[in-house]
Amino acid sequence: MRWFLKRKRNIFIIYLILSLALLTGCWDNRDIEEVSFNLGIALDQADGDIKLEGEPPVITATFQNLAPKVTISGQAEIDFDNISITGNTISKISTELALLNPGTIISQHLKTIAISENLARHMNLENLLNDFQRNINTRISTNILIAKGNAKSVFEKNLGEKGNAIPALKILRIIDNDDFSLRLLKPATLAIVGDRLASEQSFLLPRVQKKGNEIVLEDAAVISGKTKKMVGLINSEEVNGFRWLVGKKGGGRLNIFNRKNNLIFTIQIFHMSSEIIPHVRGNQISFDVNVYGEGTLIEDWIENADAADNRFLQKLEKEAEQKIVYQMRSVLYKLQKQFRADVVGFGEALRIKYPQTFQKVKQNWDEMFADVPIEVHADLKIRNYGVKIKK
Amino acid sequence: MIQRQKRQLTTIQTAFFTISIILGMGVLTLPRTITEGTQTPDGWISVILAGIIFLVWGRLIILLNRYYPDLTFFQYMPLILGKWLGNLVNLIFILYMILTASYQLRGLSAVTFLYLLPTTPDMVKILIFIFVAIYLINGGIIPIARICEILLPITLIVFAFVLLLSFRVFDPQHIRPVMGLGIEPVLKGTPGAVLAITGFEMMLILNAYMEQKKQAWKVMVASIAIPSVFYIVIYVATIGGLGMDQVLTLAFPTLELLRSYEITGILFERYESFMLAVWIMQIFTTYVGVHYFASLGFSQMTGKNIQYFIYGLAPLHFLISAIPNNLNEVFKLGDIYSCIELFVVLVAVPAALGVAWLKKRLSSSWKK
Amino acid sequence: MIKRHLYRRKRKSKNEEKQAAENGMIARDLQTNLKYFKRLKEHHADLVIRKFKIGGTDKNACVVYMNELVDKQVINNHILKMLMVDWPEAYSTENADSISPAALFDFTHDHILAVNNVKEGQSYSELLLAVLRGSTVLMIDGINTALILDTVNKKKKALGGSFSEVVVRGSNTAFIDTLEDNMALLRQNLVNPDLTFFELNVGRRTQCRVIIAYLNGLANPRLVEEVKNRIRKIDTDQILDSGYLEQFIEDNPLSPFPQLQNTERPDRVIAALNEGRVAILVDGSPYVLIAPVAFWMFLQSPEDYYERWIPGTLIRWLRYLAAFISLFLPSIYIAFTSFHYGLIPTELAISITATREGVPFPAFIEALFMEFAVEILREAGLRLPKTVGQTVSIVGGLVIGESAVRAGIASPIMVIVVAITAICSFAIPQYSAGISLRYLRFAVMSFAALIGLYGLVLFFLLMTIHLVRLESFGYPYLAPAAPVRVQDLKDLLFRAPLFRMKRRPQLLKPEDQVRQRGT
Repeated sequence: MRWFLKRKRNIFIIYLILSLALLTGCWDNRDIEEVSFNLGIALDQADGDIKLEGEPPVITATFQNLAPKVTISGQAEIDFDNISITGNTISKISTELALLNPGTIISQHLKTIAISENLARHMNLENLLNDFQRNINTRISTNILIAKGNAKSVFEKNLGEKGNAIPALKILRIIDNDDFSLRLLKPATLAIVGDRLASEQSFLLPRVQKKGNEIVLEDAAVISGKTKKMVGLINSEEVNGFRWLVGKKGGGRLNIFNRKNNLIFTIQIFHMSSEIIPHVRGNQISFDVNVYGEGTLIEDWIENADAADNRFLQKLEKEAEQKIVYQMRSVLYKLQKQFRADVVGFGEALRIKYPQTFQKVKQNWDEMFADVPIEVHADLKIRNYGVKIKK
Repeated sequence: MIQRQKRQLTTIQTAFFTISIILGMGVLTLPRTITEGTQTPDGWISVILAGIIFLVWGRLIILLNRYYPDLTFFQYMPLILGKWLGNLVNLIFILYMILTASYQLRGLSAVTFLYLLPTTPDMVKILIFIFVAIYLINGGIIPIARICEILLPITLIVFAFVLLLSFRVFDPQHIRPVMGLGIEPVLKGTPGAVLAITGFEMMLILNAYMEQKKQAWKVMVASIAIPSVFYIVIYVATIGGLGMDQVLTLAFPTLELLRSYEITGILFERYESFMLAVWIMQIFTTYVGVHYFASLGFSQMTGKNIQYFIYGLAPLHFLISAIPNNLNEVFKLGDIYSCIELFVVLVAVPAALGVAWLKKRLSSSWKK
Repeated sequence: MIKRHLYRRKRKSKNEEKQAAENGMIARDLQTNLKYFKRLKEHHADLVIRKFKIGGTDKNACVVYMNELVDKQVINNHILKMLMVDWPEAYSTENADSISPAALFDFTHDHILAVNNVKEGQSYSELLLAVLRGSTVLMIDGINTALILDTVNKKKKALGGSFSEVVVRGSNTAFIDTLEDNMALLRQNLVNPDLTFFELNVGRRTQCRVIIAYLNGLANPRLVEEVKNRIRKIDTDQILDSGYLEQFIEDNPLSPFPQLQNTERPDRVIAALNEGRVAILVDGSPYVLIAPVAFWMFLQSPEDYYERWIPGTLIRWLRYLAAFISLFLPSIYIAFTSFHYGLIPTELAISITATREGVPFPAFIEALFMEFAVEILREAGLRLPKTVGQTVSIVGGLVIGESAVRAGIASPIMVIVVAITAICSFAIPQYSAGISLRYLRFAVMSFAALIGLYGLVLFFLLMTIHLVRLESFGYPYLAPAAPVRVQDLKDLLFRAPLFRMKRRPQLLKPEDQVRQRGT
């Protein structure tokens, strides 16, 4: 022991060298070009018979993997492969994938998961997404969408297009337009979906579809927090109403097309906010929603329009407010009566204001939500009318 | 050498040392462990509560230290409680530190397994870690304190940076309402918060090395307050970003928070690598601290050279860290050592304080 | 005892010559002394022995000097002419006999020799050393003391600009090879009676003059004592450059980090002296050592203080960043591209994958190859003549970078990484610090290639541990970051405005803390 202490420096150095020698394994060292990045996954119901819950579900997963091709000139070109595999769980499918894919699959760059409508209607999303949540290689910043028809088709190479834009990434770039159009809904990340699923809240997922050769984001799917399945669709106009109800910062265009009064104009909304006020009287729960917006008049097809006249602007504002209220009413009607799913967050508002009451109704909130009276009010201000005053 | 290394620490060094020991595994698991108790988003109040409770016990520790300002806990415990009982308490304290060290090692290998090196054997990861640690521990208490001085600011800055970035997923709805269900959930969450602040009792030992012992109380307040504030920020950011219900389902919620957003357009899109890097450094300081103090304890109890124990304890830590079978047992190990720590702090310290006070009282009345 | 003493005195008169010679003392008799020097002449072709008679007298005298080391003008005009031609009549032939040799010697010393620096020497070794250093030795018959006349005409360069530490704003004067000039440069710019030059001679075979400079009453006396002690303990043949000295007196010779700063800028030395540090000047070396140092001093340039404080601070940050990049960038690249693909941005990951497609080597080997090439280019450019050197590095850089990518040996991103690393490593103002970071880079790269980010962090820890354990003359190397001196941090994290820096670095414990009172 004494010898050991005297020589501790030497011993230490020997240890270091030994441990370095041990390390020659380089277990995890794998070069970046030898792995294959999984950028997107499309989940479809397998062809053929539609299985019902309880029976082994059958899924076709399409993996969009990065596969750069080296051209003859020696320059590498970005390109991708789509591989479709059918199995009954996600893990099983990825195990199968390992049998044929060149290079280890790395899903750390998984950006988009597109679930086909059919699958979402029949499959419990919590189970379907469990692999991605549990698997440490998938970031929970992955975006989730619902695909109309065949999810696989969304990921297909667009032959008419020049270059090799990767569809899984292209979808995400479309979403950047969300402050231009009120009809766009931001996809939910795995983190948000995880939160909603864990707290049994209903939520919306945007729907993507292939129209001709183009990927189009349109409509939204309602996922019930109770059954964790898709229960229905709301159309783009209703997405408008939803965004007014939620009132997150952002904006978009409000188009009004009133033939009767000959009021055809568009307002660019640059500020919107909403306030959900719950009221509890005895056992009676009700809500007030106050929506407030500010915008710019950017187009009108009105004869003798005179933006310098305040009365004219007030007329437009009133018309626009009616439109907003209509949009909100229509989405609320669908959510309450048709789907019985609170995707807006009325439950949250109740939880924050009346936590005790919410604890009581928490269990079947979506059912209760269907019958609560909701008052909506809109207040829109036209702040600006561009550089043209009169027609 | 002109300046013979004085074995004394400045006030800042002492505070940073203690804080570095406190910040360890708790950083990653804290939002979950507290929420498991509260089931409401009120956990940050639990942290405040735990901090206040510990401040009281911190005061007791300071009072106890004042009886023997130049001796460590290991040295004065036998003097106060008698040789057998005192050394028994010392052994329990050392056991706590050994378990803490093993827990940090195991936590480290678990997290690096999940997030960094999935196929590298744990043994290799841990052995290299221990070698680096021993290199530092051999230098004695001064280099350890200096390392803490350098690493802690880096940690705090990096954490502040990545948590600020997480503001984009922050939803204030998630942390409201404040105490909606009354005080009861807050109380239920306190044990989880208490476990995360363990480590402040190192002042029992560090006091002997302080240059200005009058500042001990300030150090104690800082080393409970700064981690508490740090934890509150982490808690609020994580619950606000991921939602309370989801946090309950995640093993390392703080890390998952960073994995839940990507900021495109800046050089780095993903920020968990920063957090992992500084977190490994914090685990390192915690490990080095407890390893050194455990060796010091043995050395001061037996009067033998500390080197024997530094080299002797390293394999022991390694072996204990290999015992838990899965993550659940790892977390259980964390609970066990925290309970031992609570015994030392909540039972042994007040008892020793009482006996010391009585002895002093008796001896002074004897003199009269 | 007394008896023995008497006996010795008696013997002394008889065997005086013999004994003196045995003791190495020069004799009264000029012939004996000449014999000694003539014997030397056999081996020293450049030794000149000029025998002459003083004035009109019969007194024999001679001067001995090294032909190439002396200023012959001085010897001819101020020594020989004065002794032979301009010798006063009063001391001429007639009176010569009445004058004792001692009186003659004093007269010569006091009135005749028009030489500025005259010393007396009595031992052969002393005289010989003086002759070898370029002095002239004057010996007069009948006197056992010789005069050492300063006639040194050192071969030296003219004062020139700094080679390795160039600034845009501020003086670019640099130290040169001669000790005297370097001392003069310091005196000239630091007019202060407290400026102390303490001389030590080092070297067993060649006595090299070493000057320890410090400000008396400011530098911590214990520090000064420690420096002197360490230099005294050196036992070696010869000190060729201050680099030799540095390696003998540093705290931890095994450390990859320099523990003394070397500089050829007088302003840097003066700034250090004013902070209470100690400078060590070595004869023959244009590089002056400064002790103690902190790690950060290697990342600072005098220009930080000459420019206004905002650019000074920003440039300092830039340099810290450059140091970090030059140490860690290749390894970060390796760690991220061969371990943690998930931690880099998707778009970047895609383009890296595409560019690395077809590269046959793993990232580590690729990085090693490119770094190696850059290092060789740098070294080759350094040793070659200046004009050629630049062409070599530019051509080599372009050719290797371009063709390595073409040949598919390296990916374009790797070339960028290596280039940025190289540029950053040149941004470190101190050459010696740059070297250590440069070779540590290879160590980090292998850590990163073995266990990725975890290895990077562990290496960072290992390096930091080494740095906090390291000391420069007993002062912590990482100060003021560890141990923290809040006062001193403003000169580390920022370059605080000069009027804010009222105190000298606390850590050195200077005798006088206050640098300036605020304005």
